[in-house]
Amino acid sequence: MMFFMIVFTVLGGVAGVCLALYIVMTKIKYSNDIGGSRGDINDFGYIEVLSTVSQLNEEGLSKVSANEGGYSRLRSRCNKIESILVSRDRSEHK
Amino acid sequence: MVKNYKCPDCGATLEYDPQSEKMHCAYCDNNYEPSEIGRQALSGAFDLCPEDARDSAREKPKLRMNIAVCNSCGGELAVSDVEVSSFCPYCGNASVVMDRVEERLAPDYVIPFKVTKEEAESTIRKYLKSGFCVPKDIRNFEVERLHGIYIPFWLYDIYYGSEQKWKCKISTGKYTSVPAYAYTLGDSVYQKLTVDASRGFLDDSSQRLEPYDMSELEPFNAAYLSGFYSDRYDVGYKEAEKTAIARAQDMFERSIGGLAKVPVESELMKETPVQKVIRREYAFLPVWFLTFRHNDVPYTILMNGQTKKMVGAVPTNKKKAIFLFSVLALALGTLFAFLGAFIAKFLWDVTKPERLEGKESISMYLALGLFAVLSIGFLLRNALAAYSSMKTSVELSRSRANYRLAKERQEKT
Repeated sequence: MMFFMIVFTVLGGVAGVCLALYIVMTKIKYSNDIGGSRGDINDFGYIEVLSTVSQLNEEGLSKVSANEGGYSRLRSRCNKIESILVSRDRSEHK
Repeated sequence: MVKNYKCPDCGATLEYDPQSEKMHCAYCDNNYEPSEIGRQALSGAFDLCPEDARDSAREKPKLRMNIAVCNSCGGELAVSDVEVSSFCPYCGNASVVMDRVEERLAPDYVIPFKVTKEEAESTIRKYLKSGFCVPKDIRNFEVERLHGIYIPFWLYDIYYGSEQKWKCKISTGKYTSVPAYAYTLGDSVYQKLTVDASRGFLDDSSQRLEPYDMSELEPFNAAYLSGFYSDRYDVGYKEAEKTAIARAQDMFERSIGGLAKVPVESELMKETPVQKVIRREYAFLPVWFLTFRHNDVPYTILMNGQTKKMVGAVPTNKKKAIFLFSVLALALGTLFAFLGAFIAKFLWDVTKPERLEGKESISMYLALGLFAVLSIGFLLRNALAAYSSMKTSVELSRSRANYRLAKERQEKT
């Protein structure tokens, strides 16, 4: 029993000191670091998942890749989005 | 040629006032719409980066000074190669270097300053004054310089999509797994993704000031520059385009895994991206630069001149931090040590019947011990992350590049 008591007492003490360190570092960060984080995707636009499949074997991966026609699908979407943005820009400038 | 915008009533120089969003005459107190004062007849069409600017953008910037003549008092105004607006050192009038605005190097858009000089200073002071670990002389800092500077930015509309093939593992038992694969297809669209076009302004700093509200972009009018400093671009659009695409790719890759629910610890095997820059524009965006000194070291705090977002960090009051840590470590260390001893005794009593039957019962001790070790690891990792993030932010605030950008300006008399 003494062994477990010593181990858990030491572990508890170390955890307490680490918690104190965490609290102090976090407090300093919020107090002294005025802020500023980079913009993320939601600040500039949006992301869309068109297809997602998991737990495939090698053969399954090739089949899915061929079926989805990823590259040509992306190219076609790119052209469509480009024409939408360009025509929207033209109508704004009129 | 340097231009001062004159009040139609009294002839004094006008400056753009962020509070009223008008051109203000400090002498007769009249206000005018920027468009009344003389919209610059710019096509807004973006021209290819001229050879001279592209070539000079590749070189290390040399701050050669050019002499312009103030058309208010005839005084000589020293401007660097990139300055577009400044102040006359003799009459103090706001001055715009028109030949850098009228030619093909003019921006397409500008976001006028929305935050006044007084608001910028008071907001920064308020934040620093309330900081628990901020040294006393920083809480009551003396402003060395407070400059509103229009920073040149390239704005990109970008399409970025990618087909991705991942290698992962499927667990088949307690200790066994088999290789498996995942497939994702996704795309993203970015509008007016900002890349700073000033070589003297650190990208890390400019990105932390984001985002700007692009719905407030105005067609460029040189009148907005009056009363502020501004620089034209010295990073060409092609060079900035690489940064924009890299950012688009980075934001896409950071988001797609989570959204597509790709298993954790998957490895990206192959990626087939499709990327296109649909449009690029050139804009001036507002930034306040506040500099002060602490122990003779200059610090620069930045503020987004539209949204009031601040960027910067100050050093810690070490004595206060050590004192706080000592008190907390003593209190929490003692508390958790007693808690640990109590839990050990409790478990010992709970497992007594099993021990009386001759059964070993250390699994609960092991589980709890593992939990304690993982918790310690978690706390230490996050404490180190907070320290590392603070260190980076303080280094940015101490950066000579940002300080020089604010310092090397003609002071308003």
